Amino acid sequence: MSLVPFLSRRLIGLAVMLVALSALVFFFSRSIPGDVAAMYIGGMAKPEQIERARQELGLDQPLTLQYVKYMKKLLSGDLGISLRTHRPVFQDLLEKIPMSMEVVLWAIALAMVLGIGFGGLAALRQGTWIDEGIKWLSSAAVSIPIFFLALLLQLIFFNLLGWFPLQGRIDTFLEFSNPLELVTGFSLIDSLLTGNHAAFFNVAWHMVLPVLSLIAYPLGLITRLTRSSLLEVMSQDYILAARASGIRESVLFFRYGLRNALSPVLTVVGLSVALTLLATFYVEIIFNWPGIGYYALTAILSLDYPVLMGVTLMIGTVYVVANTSMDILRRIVDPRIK
Amino acid sequence: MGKHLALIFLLVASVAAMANPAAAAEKNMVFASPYGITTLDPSVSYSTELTYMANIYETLIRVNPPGSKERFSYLLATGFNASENGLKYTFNLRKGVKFHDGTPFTAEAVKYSIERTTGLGKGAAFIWGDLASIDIVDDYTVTFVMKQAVPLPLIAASAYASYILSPSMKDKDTAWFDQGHACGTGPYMLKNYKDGESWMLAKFDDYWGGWKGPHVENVLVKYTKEALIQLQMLQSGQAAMVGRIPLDSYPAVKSGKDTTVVYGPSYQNYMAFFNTTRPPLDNVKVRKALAHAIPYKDIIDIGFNGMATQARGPVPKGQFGYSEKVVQYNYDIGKAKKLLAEAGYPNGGFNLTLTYAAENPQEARFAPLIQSEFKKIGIDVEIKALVWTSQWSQAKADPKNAQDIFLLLWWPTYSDPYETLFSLLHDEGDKPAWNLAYYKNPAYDELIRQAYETTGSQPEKALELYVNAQNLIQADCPVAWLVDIVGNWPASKRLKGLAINPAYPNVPFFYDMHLE
Repeated sequence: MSLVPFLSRRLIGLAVMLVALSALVFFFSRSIPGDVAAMYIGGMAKPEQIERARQELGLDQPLTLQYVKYMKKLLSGDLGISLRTHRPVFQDLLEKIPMSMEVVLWAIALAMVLGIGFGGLAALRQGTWIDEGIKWLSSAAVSIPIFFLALLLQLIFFNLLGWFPLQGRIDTFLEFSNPLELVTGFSLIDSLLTGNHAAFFNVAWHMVLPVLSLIAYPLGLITRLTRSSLLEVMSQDYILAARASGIRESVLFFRYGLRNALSPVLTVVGLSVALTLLATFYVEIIFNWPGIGYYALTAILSLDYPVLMGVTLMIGTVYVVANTSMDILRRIVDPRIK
Repeated sequence: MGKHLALIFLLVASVAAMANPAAAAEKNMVFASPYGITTLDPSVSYSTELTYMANIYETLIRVNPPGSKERFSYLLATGFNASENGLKYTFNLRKGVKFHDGTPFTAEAVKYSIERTTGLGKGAAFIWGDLASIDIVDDYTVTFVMKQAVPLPLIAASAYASYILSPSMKDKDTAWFDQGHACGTGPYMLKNYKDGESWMLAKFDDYWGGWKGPHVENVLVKYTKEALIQLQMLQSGQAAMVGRIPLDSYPAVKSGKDTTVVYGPSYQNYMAFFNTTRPPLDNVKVRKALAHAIPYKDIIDIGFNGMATQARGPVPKGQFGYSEKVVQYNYDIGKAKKLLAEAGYPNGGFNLTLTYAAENPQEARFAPLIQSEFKKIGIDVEIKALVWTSQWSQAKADPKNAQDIFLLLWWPTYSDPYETLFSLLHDEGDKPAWNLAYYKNPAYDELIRQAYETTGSQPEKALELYVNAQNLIQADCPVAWLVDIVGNWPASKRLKGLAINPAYPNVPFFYDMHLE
């Protein structure tokens, strides 16, 4: 299997998509009525200050020209300045992405392991109460709105039981005694790197409810898909033939069944990464988790278009990268895919 | 195995630590704040970061809240005097003051800071518009020379654009500050800045005021936008004070076992601009009718849960320029009907559009009250909630096609009425910015400028001029002044010394506070 043409095709596709996406977001966000220069100045701006900012930001030029300028800068890795925080968007993204990815990756990894496990179990025990239970729960997990689940988890585990914290990524009192120092931006890794064990456990403890909120959708999806895909594979003639030739049932299941059933599941995992990243928009607001979702939502509410552009392009990229890497994985588990 | 034991031990230890957060926390407090940071550059800052800036940086003098014995508190200056013509102000500076990086504070720092602010010309730098020069007399004496006799002490005490920063920061630009750096003379240093998440205001050991007596030493600011989360943090004891809780939760917090609400005046007020450029609101009688048809009491009771008072005019109560002599419009539906009839609309019979900022939950609450009251006099109001920048840019675009009624929340930059009266009502020609009634009155423009230039030398005369100017406005009624806001901080009962100074909106002066 040759990866090079495949990857280069994907890269070209990514570039085309990003250009289209950026044009769409740029022209849409800029056609919303609102004074971007006034927004940049903030407070009780005086007319002459707004005029000056308009020139400074190049907002007095035609929109298409502004777009071309933006794209030129983008090629050199410059995403512009946030209108609200006045900091480079690229730098803001570098700070916020790890915070979100930490939660998203945990959610996806756990959803993958648990989903394949539950799906396999349900398929193995098809028709029993275990199968019924898993089917029911996975349907529920896929259908429950994420923001509702997040609030429900807060209500149960903070308000009623008091087991998990309400919000934030670390307890405030630890900020006095063992403040979290950021190295990579991934707080669990950083707390270990700096030998800050108290912070490590505290952050992990804070992460439980956000991860649980995010896990529901991909977990339900993966469970259902694993189950149905596995049932389909297990009813194929070659399985019957293998079984007739006396291959052990466990070998049959894991090597011949599960491995072949995984290909569609991996496609869904790729999609789930992007969907989960979007779901952080709700979850981060509810849990006061200052990641990319929180950052993007604030930008939307304040017409901060450089940030909107940055976040959209980033999520678009993640989407393509996640799908591509899942395609590569699929090729590994199923060499027939070209 | 030993590794596992160590991990378990750590886990137990951290759980134990979680169970007892109050230990050794007496000097530390958590503030769950909805006030974000748009810039950390003290010369440029003109937004909600004031909440922290005023604790990190200091001005020469500070305006005391209304009702205080002295008009000013002396911070970096120990006193000042004005020349007879009101064009020169000489300040004596405090000795032995250090900046956070150890640089000594001298007259050079004053000159450098204010010139940096005016040079950048951003934020509230316009308040220095009448400054001619700053002359260093000696290390601890500095003279401000003005082009006009404007009230300089109030400008020097401004909540924005008047902070003194260390001259050692000469080669630093705004971007450097925005990475989370600061260098002032205030009691607190900025530390561990995580944009959009949290930052620490940490005790500055060499603060000139000293640390004897009870003071909060470290304040962890936990940036929290959601009012509901702030409420939860306050009630669960995770935060000693918060900025904003849901309006309906005030009674519970006020009477809570461990919580309370600290109230005080604010110079923030709400107003409704009438579009004076086209019928029917170009008719002064119609405008007056509307001003009498606004349900002020309902707005206060329902819109603000009682945490507001009816506004008299543009200047909020307590601020210089406020006077009982300014004519006030009260709710009187009979009078409103009569005025409408006189204007030729005996049964109303026209439609108006009203816009407000969708981000403002308060306006969303009281706009419908105005709508239903106007309905009673036969006027249909269409309410449009727009994102603030949209609301504002539509109003500025073309008055003839703009809204009929514009709701606005306003507060002054510094403790003087001129800026408010000028911005909101002076003739802006064909480029409206804040005068969203599009009102023009040369006599008024003349009066307020006169008053401004008289404030320093003859305050009584200035007040009289301000009153006359405001009554000119009230006679034409281009704006209905709705309510003055009552400021408040929901806080723990253990937190003492928390007070509200309306000249510095949303600034808790942490140095004055301690935990009991």
